[in-house]
Amino acid sequence: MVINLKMKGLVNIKKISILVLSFVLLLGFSTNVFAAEKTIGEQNKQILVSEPNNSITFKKVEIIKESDKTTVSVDGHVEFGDVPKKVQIEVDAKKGTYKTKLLSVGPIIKNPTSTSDSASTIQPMSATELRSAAVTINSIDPAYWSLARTTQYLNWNVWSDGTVGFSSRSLNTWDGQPTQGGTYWYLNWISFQGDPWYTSNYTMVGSDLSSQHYNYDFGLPNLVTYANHNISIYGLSTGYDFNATYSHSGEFSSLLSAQIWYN
Amino acid sequence: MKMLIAKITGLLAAFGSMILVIILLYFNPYSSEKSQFGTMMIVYTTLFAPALFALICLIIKRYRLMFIPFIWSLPISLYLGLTPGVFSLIMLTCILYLISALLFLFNHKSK
Repeated sequence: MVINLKMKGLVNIKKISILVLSFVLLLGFSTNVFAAEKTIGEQNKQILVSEPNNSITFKKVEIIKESDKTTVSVDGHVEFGDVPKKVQIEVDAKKGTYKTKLLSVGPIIKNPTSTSDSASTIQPMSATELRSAAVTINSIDPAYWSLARTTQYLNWNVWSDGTVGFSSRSLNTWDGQPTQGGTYWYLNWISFQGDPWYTSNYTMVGSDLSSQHYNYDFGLPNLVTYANHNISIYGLSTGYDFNATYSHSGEFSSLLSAQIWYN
Repeated sequence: MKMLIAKITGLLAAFGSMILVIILLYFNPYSSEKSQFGTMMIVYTTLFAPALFALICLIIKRYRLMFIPFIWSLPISLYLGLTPGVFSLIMLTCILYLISALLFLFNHKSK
C-alpha cells in the first residue's frame, strides 16, 4: 500500500514537472511564434489617452503597431523653468491609454561622448538668451533595470524679436555592459538625421537623432533583441517641444518598456 | 525523512532567494549603479516577500501554503532565469519552492 502510494507520488511529481517544464518552454518561445503569425506590412496607428490619475501628461502619445514591432511615439512640451523630470511610461494598447510615473526630479548630467555640432556663422542679431534642452530615452526591462540609453542635447539662441538660432547639439549614449541583470547591450548605430532645421519664420529650430541598440545574450544566445530610439527636439522662444519615439523588437521585446527623461 | 527534506528544501529556497535579493540590490556584481526605487519595489515584492512568506509557512507549519511563494515568484523568476548571469539562480530557488511544496503534499497524502 505504502509502495503504491509512493509510486503514485512519483508519477504525480513527474507529471507536474513535465507540465511546469512545458509551460516554461512555451513561454520562452511564444514571443517569436506570435510574431511570425502576424501579417507582414500591416501598420496600425492608435492615439492613446492619459489615465485619469497620471501626474504627468504628454501632448500626444501614439502607438504604431507593425508586423514585428510596436513603436511608441511621445510628444511633449517643456516651458523654460520647468523642473527636469524622469518619467516612466507604460502603454496599454487594449485600453487605449498610457500611464506615467514620475520617477525623480533632477537634471540629466551632460556628458557628451560623441558627435557634437556647433553653429559656425555669426548671428545677425544679439542673442537675448542661450537655451538648452536634453531628452533621453532609457529602455528598461521588467525589473526596471536600465538596458540602453540615448540622449540628445540641443542649445539654441533666442533673439530679441522672438526668432531662434541654432547654437550647438550633441549626443550621448549608454549601454549596459553589463546591465544590473548581467546582460550585455551594444550600440549598433547612432546618428543625427540631417542638419538642424528651421521653420520658415525662424520661430523653431529642430534637430533629430536616431539610434539602435541590441542584445543577444538574453534567452537564446542566437536571437537578438533591438531597441530603437528616435529623439527630436524643437527649440522655441518660450521652451521646447520634443518627440521621443522608441520601439523594441526581437526576442522577448514585449517585456521591455521605456522611460523618458527631459531637462 | 520526506518532511525533513521538504523543510530543508523550503529553507534553502527562502534563504537562497533572500541572499540573491540582497546581492542583486546592494552588492550587484554587474553594476555599481544604485538600484532604482522601482527596481527595489519589484524585487522586494516579487522575490523577498515570497521568501519571507515561505519562512513564515515553515515556522508556523502551514506547509500546504508553500505553493504560494512558488506562484508568487514565478513571473520574475522566469524572466531572471533567462539572464546569463548569477541571477538566473532565482529560477532554481523558485523550483525549490515547488519541490518543497510537492514533498509536503505527498507526505501529507501518504499519511
